[in-house]
Amino acid sequence: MLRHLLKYGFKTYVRNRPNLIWNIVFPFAYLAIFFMALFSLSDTNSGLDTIHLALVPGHAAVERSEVDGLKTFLAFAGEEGSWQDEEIIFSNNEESLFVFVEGEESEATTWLEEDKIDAMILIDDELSFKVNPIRRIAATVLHEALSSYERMSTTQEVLTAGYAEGKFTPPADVAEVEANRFLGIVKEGRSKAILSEFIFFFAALAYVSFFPISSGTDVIESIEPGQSPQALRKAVAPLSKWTHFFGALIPRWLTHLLLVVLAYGFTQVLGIDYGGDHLRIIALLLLGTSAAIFTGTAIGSLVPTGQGPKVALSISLPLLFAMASGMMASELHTLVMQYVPWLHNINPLGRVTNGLHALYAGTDLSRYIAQLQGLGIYIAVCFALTLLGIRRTRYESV
Amino acid sequence: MPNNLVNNTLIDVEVKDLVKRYKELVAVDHLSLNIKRGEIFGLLGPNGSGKSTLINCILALLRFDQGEVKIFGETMTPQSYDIKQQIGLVPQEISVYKELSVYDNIDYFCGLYVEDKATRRRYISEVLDFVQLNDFKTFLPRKLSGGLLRRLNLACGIAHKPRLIFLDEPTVAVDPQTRNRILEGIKQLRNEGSTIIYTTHYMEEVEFLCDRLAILDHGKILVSGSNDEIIAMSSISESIKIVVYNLPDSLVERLQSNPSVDSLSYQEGNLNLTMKQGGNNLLAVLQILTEAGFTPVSVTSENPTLNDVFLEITGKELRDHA
Repeated sequence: MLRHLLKYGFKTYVRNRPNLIWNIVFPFAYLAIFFMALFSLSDTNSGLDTIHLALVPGHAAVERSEVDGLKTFLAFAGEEGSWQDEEIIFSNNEESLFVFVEGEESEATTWLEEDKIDAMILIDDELSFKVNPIRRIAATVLHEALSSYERMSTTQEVLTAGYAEGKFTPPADVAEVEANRFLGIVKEGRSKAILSEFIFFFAALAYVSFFPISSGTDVIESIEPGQSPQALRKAVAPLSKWTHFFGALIPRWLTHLLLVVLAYGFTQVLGIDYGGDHLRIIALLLLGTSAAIFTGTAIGSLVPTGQGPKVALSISLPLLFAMASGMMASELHTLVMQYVPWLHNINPLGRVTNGLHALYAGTDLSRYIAQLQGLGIYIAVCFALTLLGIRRTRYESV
Repeated sequence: MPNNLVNNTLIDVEVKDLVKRYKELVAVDHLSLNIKRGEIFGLLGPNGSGKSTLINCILALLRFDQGEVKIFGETMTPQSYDIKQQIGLVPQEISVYKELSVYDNIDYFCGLYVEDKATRRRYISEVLDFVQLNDFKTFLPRKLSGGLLRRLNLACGIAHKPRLIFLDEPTVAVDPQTRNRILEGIKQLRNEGSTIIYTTHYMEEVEFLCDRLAILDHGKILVSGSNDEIIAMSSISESIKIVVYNLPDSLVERLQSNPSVDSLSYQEGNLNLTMKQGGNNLLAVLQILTEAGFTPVSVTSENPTLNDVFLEITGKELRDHA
């Protein structure tokens, strides 16, 4: 009998046009749009084109260390180009924000005019630059970069003078610091810096996993006589309500478990990097989807009213949870953790977000496992509430 | 309409002193009812009279405050699966899945009762013939007209060959041709041995179909019995108008003295009689006239209808509430 119910449960669910659009097509469309809108956040170059530069010592007296210092700084976000057969050879590395060569002022001016470079930097007592007029954005970026360089150089000089005058105790490796004034900044810092922005992508995937609440409410609607005419007919049939419940639940549940795995696969096709621990990520997403389905069944069984309130809850709950997880603004995630810890603790979508983050940036699995446990408890509570809600077999009204 | 298919000794549905309240409102008020095996029993009443509540109580869907419901001699509960196995419900609202074809819809609902696939296939084939949907079995419900949908709704409720069928206004919003087909089908179901409980707003359907009926209002049965019994309970009389010329006074007096005649007038060849109770007095009057050698030019007789009785009893027009 259960087989009969499952067969038609699948048929009715996958052929239902609103379901098809709302629960099946929408998550994929949403991920694609989200990806297109925010993909630049996951790009380590922040989407900027490489800026080609010429470094021009202003006069012969410019100390070599000044030129080398600037080169070291620029190399932090780029690399040095080279000469080959009277041509400047630049790297094609798309990761590089700057590529640069050293040259005379006259040469650099010619390169600039011939559109071979985007800007030339004059290294004199002060730094100045000329920009190719059609590359205005390069001017903005260059201005910011050189301002940072000036500030760091000034700080370094103050510290060095302080050491010399005995105002500060120099660190043990002061000589090395002198030799490479940007040693304290590690490249990995750049990728760590974008993690806080990457929360958008974690929350977006978590949102897709927690999306199908309405499928849970559908389960109850299909078995409660007061909620649909088909259910009234089923209630007269010689089958227990539990058989009807599982007959309606399993097709929807399995369909969405499959869909969330496909949705994750879709993110991989799109090239979104979730860290590569695919099995653990899928386990987390499966639990997130199960949490959504059972949230729906709990709502459906405890709110035995018409469609309106259930649809409203089905839409608003994932959005509320997603917002609290940082999908709309990454700062909200931290604020909710600080000021509304209970919401943070019960938020299943937040747990999926945290789990994804833990897998991506964590050093061990303890935080990830804690999210799985939290989701497990959430699902158990929702399931218990569902059973409580649908245990009745005689009604006050139908 | 006495019917020899009705088994007067076996009661399929027994309702005793049933009370169902919705807070202050008494939806079913100390109602008792027996429905015999093999009969078509009509439940008539305006909206809110308690018909659907009564059916839902009988089907153990609603919790009631007092009373007892027995089906096939057993107390009906939500877990009475043996009883439910033999029940079919055709709700008023179209209760089919729009995603499934006609065949799949019938297979789905029939499959809730009949596990064996071969038996089910046979039942589906029979019911498709019965409701004449064979040509539409691969159609989705959205491709069907209102009348065909009603027939599908009926098929889904009866495909498993239930002994007791609840039909809740199965002919609402269908064309006359489809309605006649459904009504003939219902009679056929009874002829095949099913007991049928039929709710409707259409008086002529009850007159055509039902062996017995009950008129409900405010949760109570106001009258119950066969059509003729109920009409006979009415104070409304049969009215006979005959055009016949040159009647002698003696013959008019003879007609006047007939115990069935309540009042009589004869003017310019128009003989108007109002009978005392019930209907079907026309033949007796005509017999007196022809024996006396008079041939009527025209004859009309108006018997009271169930609608007149319903109006008299409830003070409401049934259709106006439909």
